[in-house]
Amino acid sequence: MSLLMVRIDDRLIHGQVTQGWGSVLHPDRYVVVNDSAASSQWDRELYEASAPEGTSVVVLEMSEAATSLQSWLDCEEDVIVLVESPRDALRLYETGLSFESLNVGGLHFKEGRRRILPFVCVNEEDIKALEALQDCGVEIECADVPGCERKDLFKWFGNAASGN
Amino acid sequence: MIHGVVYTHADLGMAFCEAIESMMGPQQGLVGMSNQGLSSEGMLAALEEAVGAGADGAIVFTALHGGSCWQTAERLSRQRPNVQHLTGVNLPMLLAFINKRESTELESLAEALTEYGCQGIRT
Repeated sequence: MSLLMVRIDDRLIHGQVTQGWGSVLHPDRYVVVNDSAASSQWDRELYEASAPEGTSVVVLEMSEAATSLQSWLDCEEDVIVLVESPRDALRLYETGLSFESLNVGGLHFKEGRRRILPFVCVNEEDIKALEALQDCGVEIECADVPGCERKDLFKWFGNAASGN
Repeated sequence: MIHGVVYTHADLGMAFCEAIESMMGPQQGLVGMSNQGLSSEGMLAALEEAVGAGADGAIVFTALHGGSCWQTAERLSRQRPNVQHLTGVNLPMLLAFINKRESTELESLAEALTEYGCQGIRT
């Protein structure tokens, strides 16, 4: 298995992922790591039904994700991993899944988050988690769709944190 | 009257409705929506509002199986028995919706529209 991409996207699996990135990266499998989705059979089935032909979707709990993903390392599979928040990306890293880069692809507006890009809204917790990952040597790349201009998130964080 | 919501990416949903009205004249109870800039929760809230609470129910039309609009419409139609969801929207499907929604009951209408939509694809 190779990790084609680890992506933060609060919509998890959707068109940008399966159609946009999928057509460029050609994964065999999409792995959604999300405790809430994993705890609901209906949600799991919804995400599994979102898999484009020739691919599959697996929904895992955070506690089992790193172990399961590591155990697939020997298989001939290419995988895209999806988490919904910077916090979950950091948790995944801390539970032992080592990744060198992280795509920030969609953090939409919620109460308490501030918009810094059309597709990225952050709060203090989001910023701290991304900074912690960067401190671990993870390259943070911000791109919602393939081929778009890569944005440097960190230069916007000062404004987001101070409320300016 | 059965309401229709065309829910898809960028401005496509609104454009579908404009195209329908350019042929059929102004329509009540037909709206286009975009998923742009919304979280999953925001998408569901916006769709609930657009669908409304009419006694005759509503059909949500989406364009892409597996996409975020499709997922949101699946969630809402699961919660609300009088909301049907069809994906693969095209103009023949929407034209048939306008022509038949006042004379057909919700579930039969959804079934019929699937056929009209498929019949619109041919070589």
